[in-house]
Amino acid sequence: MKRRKFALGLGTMAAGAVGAFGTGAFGAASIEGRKASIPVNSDSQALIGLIPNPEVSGVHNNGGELSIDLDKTGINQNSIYQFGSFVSDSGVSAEEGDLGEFPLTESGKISSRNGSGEFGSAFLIANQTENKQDIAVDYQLSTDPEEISTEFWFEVHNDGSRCDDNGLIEEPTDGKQTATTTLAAGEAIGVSLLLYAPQGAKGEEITGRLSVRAGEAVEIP
Amino acid sequence: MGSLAAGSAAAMGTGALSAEITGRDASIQVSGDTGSLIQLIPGHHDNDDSSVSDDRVYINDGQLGISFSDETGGSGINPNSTYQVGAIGSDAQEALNVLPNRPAQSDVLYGEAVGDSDTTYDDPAFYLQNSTDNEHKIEITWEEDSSPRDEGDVNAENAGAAFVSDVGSNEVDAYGDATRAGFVLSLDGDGGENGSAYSGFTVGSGEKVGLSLIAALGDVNPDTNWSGTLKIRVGEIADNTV
Repeated sequence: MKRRKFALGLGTMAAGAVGAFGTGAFGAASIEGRKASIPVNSDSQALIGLIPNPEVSGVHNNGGELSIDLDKTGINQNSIYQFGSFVSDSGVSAEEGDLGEFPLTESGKISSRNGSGEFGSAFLIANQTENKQDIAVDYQLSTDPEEISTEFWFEVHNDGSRCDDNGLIEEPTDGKQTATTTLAAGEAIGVSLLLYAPQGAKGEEITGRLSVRAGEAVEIP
Repeated sequence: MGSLAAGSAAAMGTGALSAEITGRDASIQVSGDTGSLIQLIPGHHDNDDSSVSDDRVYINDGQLGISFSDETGGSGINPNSTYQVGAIGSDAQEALNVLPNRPAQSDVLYGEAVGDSDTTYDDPAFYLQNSTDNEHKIEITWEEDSSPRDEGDVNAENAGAAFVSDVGSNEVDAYGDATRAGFVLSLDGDGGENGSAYSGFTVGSGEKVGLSLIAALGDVNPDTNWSGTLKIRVGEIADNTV
């Protein structure tokens, strides 16, 4: 019994040693000049690119980060502002008030960049890796939705149709909403935004944070 | 070691990537008309020499308004009279002349059009400013609630009112019911779709246009009034009606 036990122990040691020998054959080694270059790039150029539409006001690349900055120069009360085209008006209606012809819609591949780089969305989330990626867009509202009368809608679309899962993000009541989709290499989804500020909304401040997750960080439902 | 290498190869092969890009700010402020992307600014706002009083053109609860009722008790305009708010320049007058009805050239009281030096841009009733990053079409519609012409015997010849502008900048082009140089919006209630009048500009980023108001009345019932709302449509939506 004792011998058998020893044999087992030896086997284990041997197995462990293979790895050790493989890497530990030298007393000392110095391998130089292997380059690891991890550039930190602005949102528009990174592997997962966040690209503002230069034709759309209020969405900018500020110091390398995409931001929706409508706080210094805001929207009027008693107004409707749309940033970027929607592909559908389905499900977009104000609780109080009439959106009239809004949201303005445009068919076709509005989220894809054509040869000249033009697109219809307020901003793009582009898979600039060489592989297919799952993408999730989270919108987390910091303002208590009960405190504001301003209403808003984000539309997440791809190739002229809304993303299947939460393609329309409305004013979140539970603090956070998520749209998910899958993008092939080089593909992009577009995000557009509609805001409705009714009479009496003056002074309201809506703040939130957009987060984008990609790859393994996403669980597609 | 064998399995380690295999695992490594698999990871490279699918190009597995996990990324989380967090905390991109979205901040939206509902502003008054003088602090928004599309601004409506009373002519006296930044101009001590403005001929426009803050009774006439004002910001109330963040929204531009125009009123002919003053706190001192005076209210309205008289039959057989012309009232003008802001200067009317030569180009603005030219625009005014395209209207088939009064007010006409001879009604203009003040501004470059009648020999003063002020253009509409110098001293308007209010400015319409494009504070977005991009050039936009900006279209103005008058949605009429009432007009002196609601009385059956009053016609276009003896009740006319209009907003005018001398466009006056290379960054601004007038279109719609307008001439190349000037802009006119008739408050005649039948200048466009559904009883509305409309006209517009193309305004460059950071540019503004000045608008003045003129109302000329003949022998009309003193209990009538012009009342309505201005609707400003900007960008793609402005293309839908012009």
